[in-house]
Amino acid sequence: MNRLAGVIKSITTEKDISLVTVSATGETFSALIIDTPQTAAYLKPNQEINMVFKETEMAIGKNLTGGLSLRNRFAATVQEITAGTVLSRIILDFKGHLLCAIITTQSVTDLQLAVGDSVVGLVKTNEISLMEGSF
Amino acid sequence: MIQIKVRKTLQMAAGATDLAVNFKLAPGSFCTLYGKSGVGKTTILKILAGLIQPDEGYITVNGEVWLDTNKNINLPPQQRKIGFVFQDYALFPNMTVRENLQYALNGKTNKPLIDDLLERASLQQLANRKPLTLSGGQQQRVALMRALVRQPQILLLDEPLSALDLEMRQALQTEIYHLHKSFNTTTLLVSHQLSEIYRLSDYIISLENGKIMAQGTPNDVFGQTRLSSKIQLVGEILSIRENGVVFILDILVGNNIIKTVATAEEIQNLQPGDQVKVFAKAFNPIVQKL
Repeated sequence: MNRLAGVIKSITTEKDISLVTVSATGETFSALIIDTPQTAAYLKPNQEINMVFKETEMAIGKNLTGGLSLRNRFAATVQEITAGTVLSRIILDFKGHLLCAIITTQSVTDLQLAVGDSVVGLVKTNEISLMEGSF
Repeated sequence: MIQIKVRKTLQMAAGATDLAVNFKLAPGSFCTLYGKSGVGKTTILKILAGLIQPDEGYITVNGEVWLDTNKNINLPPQQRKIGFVFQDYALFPNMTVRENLQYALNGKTNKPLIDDLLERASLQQLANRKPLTLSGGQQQRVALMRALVRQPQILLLDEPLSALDLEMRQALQTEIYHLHKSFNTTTLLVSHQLSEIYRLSDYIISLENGKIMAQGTPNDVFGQTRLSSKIQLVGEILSIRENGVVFILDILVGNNIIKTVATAEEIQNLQPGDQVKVFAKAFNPIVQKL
């Protein structure tokens, strides 16, 4: 699983659901969770937190134009590509943090993805879990 | 209420360890003693049963004093209302199933009770068989019924299912749970099988080097990772298969096998038989009425 350490900036709550913004290595990320400051004590500004998301839930954009609903997008460099028949494993360097994306090999071909490419890592807000402390 | 506060120096392979525990059990609760081998779990059961004498301490069970080293009180095992089930069944091989149950009544006869227990465990057809002609699961059922025939105030289970295969283990877990409920006994289980612990117990005492490290509900004790994921399951890894750049894990959760995809890094420390937690975000599942 991918993991990024950050600090909570803000929390917007509607009934049971909260949208939490987290600052990590200078970028702002958003996580949508079913918890509120009342149900989870760690939901408070300036709290150190880990963001956790599955490799299969990360997408990769190249030469992106136009609007996109995805909140979490961050510039990164392709460091490694391991291609299987159906799936490929892409390691991205995001400001020195290594993140892994599992995407289809067809997409790798369509995007003509190569090591050294400048790309955008994409993760939906509802795919990010927040974790206090570590495993 | 069951209250136990005991201390005993144990001679372990690694040297002397001080077993010192102090805990209370609510009547009717199902408590698991959890911890590595050699931390004193079985010793606690044997002290409760009166089979081992602690260096000091007291045990009171529903108002009755079973042990108080200060007042020189120490009820012998046969006067303590306990039922004990061991991993290796420990049935009398020369007696039939019915005679094994009968023997536990200390010479009293109570045919209706024994018939009832045999029926609950589906053992009526086997009542006149000798234990060694039965399967492991059947023998452990007999051992369980023999423990219950005395209508114990505390049922002590020392890894009772660890010698059985997975299917039998699950079937007997369900039976143990129902028997515990219907006899309204207080049950103390020794186990290190997380899925079993989650399934059966409402209270856990986690031990390390003879001391209580944590106690509470299974979630209090094992749910300490504070993670926002709302779907958190406990299961056992059945298999790990390479599948291109990823791996497929088969995980047994309750009676269901779920499949998950994992990366090479995630499976690094995993192997079949491992107990694992499975997390997922609340947003992914699709719910459909059956």
